[in-house]
Amino acid sequence: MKLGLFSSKNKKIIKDPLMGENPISIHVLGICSALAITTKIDTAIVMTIAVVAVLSISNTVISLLRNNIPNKVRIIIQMSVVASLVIIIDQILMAYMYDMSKLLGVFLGLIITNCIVLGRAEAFAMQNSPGKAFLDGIGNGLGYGTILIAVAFFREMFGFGSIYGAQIISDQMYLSGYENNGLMILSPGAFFILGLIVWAHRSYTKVIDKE
Amino acid sequence: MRSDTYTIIFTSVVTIVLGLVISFTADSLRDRQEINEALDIKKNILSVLGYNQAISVWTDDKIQSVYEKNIKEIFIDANGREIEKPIDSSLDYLKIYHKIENGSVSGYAIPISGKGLWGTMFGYFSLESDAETVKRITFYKHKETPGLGGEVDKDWFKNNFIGKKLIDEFGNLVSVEVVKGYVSSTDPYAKHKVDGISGATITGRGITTFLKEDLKKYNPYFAKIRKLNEIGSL
Amino acid sequence: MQHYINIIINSVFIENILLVYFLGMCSFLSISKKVETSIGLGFAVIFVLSITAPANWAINEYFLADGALAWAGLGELNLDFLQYIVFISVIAAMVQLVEMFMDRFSPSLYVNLGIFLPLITVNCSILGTSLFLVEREYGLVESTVYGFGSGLGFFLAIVSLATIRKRMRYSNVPPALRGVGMAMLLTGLISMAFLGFSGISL
Repeated sequence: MKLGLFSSKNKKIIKDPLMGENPISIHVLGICSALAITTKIDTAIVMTIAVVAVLSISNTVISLLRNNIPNKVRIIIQMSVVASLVIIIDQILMAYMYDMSKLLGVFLGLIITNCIVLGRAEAFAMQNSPGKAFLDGIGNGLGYGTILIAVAFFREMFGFGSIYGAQIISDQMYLSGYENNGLMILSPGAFFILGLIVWAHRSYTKVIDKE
Repeated sequence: MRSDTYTIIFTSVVTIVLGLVISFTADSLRDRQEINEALDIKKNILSVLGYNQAISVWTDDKIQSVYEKNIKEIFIDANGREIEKPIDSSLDYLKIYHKIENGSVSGYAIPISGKGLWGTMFGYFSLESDAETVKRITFYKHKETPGLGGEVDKDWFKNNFIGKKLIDEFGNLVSVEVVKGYVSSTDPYAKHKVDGISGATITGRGITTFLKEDLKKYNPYFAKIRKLNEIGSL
Repeated sequence: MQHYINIIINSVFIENILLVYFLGMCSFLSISKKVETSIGLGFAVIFVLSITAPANWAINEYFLADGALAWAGLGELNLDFLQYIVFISVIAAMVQLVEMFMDRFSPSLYVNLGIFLPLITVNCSILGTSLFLVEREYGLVESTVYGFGSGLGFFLAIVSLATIRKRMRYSNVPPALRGVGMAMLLTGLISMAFLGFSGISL
C-alpha cells in the first residue's frame, strides 16, 4: 500500500525532530555550529538552509545506495558523499553568494563533521527508503534550524540590539544608559543561551536525562 | 558476505563519480568565483578612495565601470619608481591605486596588513593628492572580537582618521598612532593621533605598528610626490 | 622558539579550540560524564591532532594548494576544493591506526572509549584544526605545534568539565536542566574564566 505524501506517518517524520526528537536539545548532536554561527540571525538562517540541503540530499543518496554499500567501508562512503555535497554547496555559495560564504568561513566545511548528518545517515538513511530518508533529512535540518535561530535571536538581540539586522533598541535607550551585552557575542554567551534554551525545550517536551 | 573485489570496485566507482561531480562543479563555477573575488577587492578600493557611501546602492556593473574609469593600478619598486606590471612575482614590488578625477590624481590607496589581536588584519589606506593627509582607512578582513577590536569596522573609528597628517614639520614620516583612550585636544601632536578602542588596546597598537611599517615601504614614492608638489607651488 | 611557545599558549588558553571556537562539542558533552574516559579521550585527541596536522599540511602544500603540484610539472592546477574530502580521509585513516594501536596496547581504554574512538574522526576539532592551519598559512613546524596545542586545549577543557560534573552529581539540578543544559552552563562559566587569558602574549 502506497502511503500518500502527506500521510500521518510522513508528517511525523518531519514533525518529530522539531520537538521530541530534536537533534540538538534531545540527541545532543550538531552543537558545534549551534554555538559558533549564532551571533547573528542571518548567518544562522543561511547555515540552516545549507544543513537542510546537505542532510536531505545525503540521506537520499545514502538511502539509494544502502543495499549496495559493503559493510567494511560504510562510514567512509557515507562521509565521502557528505563531504562531496558540502564541497559542491561551498563552491555554489562562493560563486553566487560571495559575502555569505565569507561570513560562514570554515564552518560550512564543518558541516561534514556535523554529528547530525552522519548520525541520521547511520540511524535512518541506512534502514529506510529514499523518500522517507529525504523527509527525515528535512525534518532534522528544520529541528536543528529552530534551535539555531532561537539562540541567534537572543544573542543578536542582547549583543547587538538588533533583529535580523534591523535595529530594535532605539537610540534613546542607549542614551539613557542601556548598553549592549558584549558577553552575548562572545563564547560564554553562546553556551549560556543554548543551555537555557535546552532547559526550556526539555521542560516543554518533558524529556529528562536519566543520569 | 560481500567479496573484497566487490568492495574495491564499489569504492572505486563511488570515488570516481564523486570526484567527477566535484571537479565539474568547481571548474564551471571557478570563473564566477574569481569575478566575485576581484569585485570584492574593487569595492574595497573604491570604498577607501571616497566612494564608500555611494557603493552600497551600486550594481556590480556600475562598480566595475566606475573602477575602470577612475582607478589606475600602478606598480612601484622599493625605491618608489614606477615599473611595469611584474610577470615574475619573485621581484619585490608594491601596488598603489590612483584615483583619477577630471584627468588628475586626487587620491592614493595602498594595501595594509599586519597583526591584530587574533590574527592578521587586512585593509586599505588612502591619502589625499598631497600625499601627506589621510583620506580614509578600511579593513576588509580581520578576526578581531566584535564589540572590541571589531570596532575597527565602525564609522566612529574610521572617521577619526580623516584629515590626519602623516608628516611632521621636519618632513619625517610619523604616521598615525592609535592611542590608548582619547586624544587630548590640547595635544600639539593631535593631528597624528586617533582615539583608541576601549578594551582593544592590543588591536590599536597592532594597527599603529603595521600602518607605520607599510607607510615606510611606500615613503620613497610619496616623498617624491611631496617634493614635486613643493616645487610646483613655488 | 618563542613563536612556537606562543602558538601553544594561544591554542590552549586564548583560542581554545573548544571553549572559543566551539569545535569538538559532541564528544565533549558525552564523554565528560566520567573523568577517566575524559583523560583517555583527551590523550587520544592530542595524539591524533599532532599527527594529522602535519600530515594534512604536507598534503595541502604538495598536492592541493594553488600551484602546489609545480614539482610534478602541473603548477597551474589548483585543487584546493578537494581539501575537505582529502583531509577527512586522512583523518579517518589516522584514527583507524590509533584504534589498532590502542587495541593492541591498552585494551581496557579501548573498550571504555567504545564508539567514541571512531567518532574522533567526525570530531569537528580535528578537521577544524587542519582547516585553520591552512587558513593561517602555518609552516610545517607551526602546524605540528598548533595541532599539539589544540589537542592540549581540548584535553584541558574536557578534563575540567568532567571533574566539575563529577561534583555536580551531589547537587540538586532541576530535571529538565540535567545533562546537556547544565553542561552548557558550566562550560559557559569555564569559557568565561578562560576569557581572562586574552591579551596575554610573550
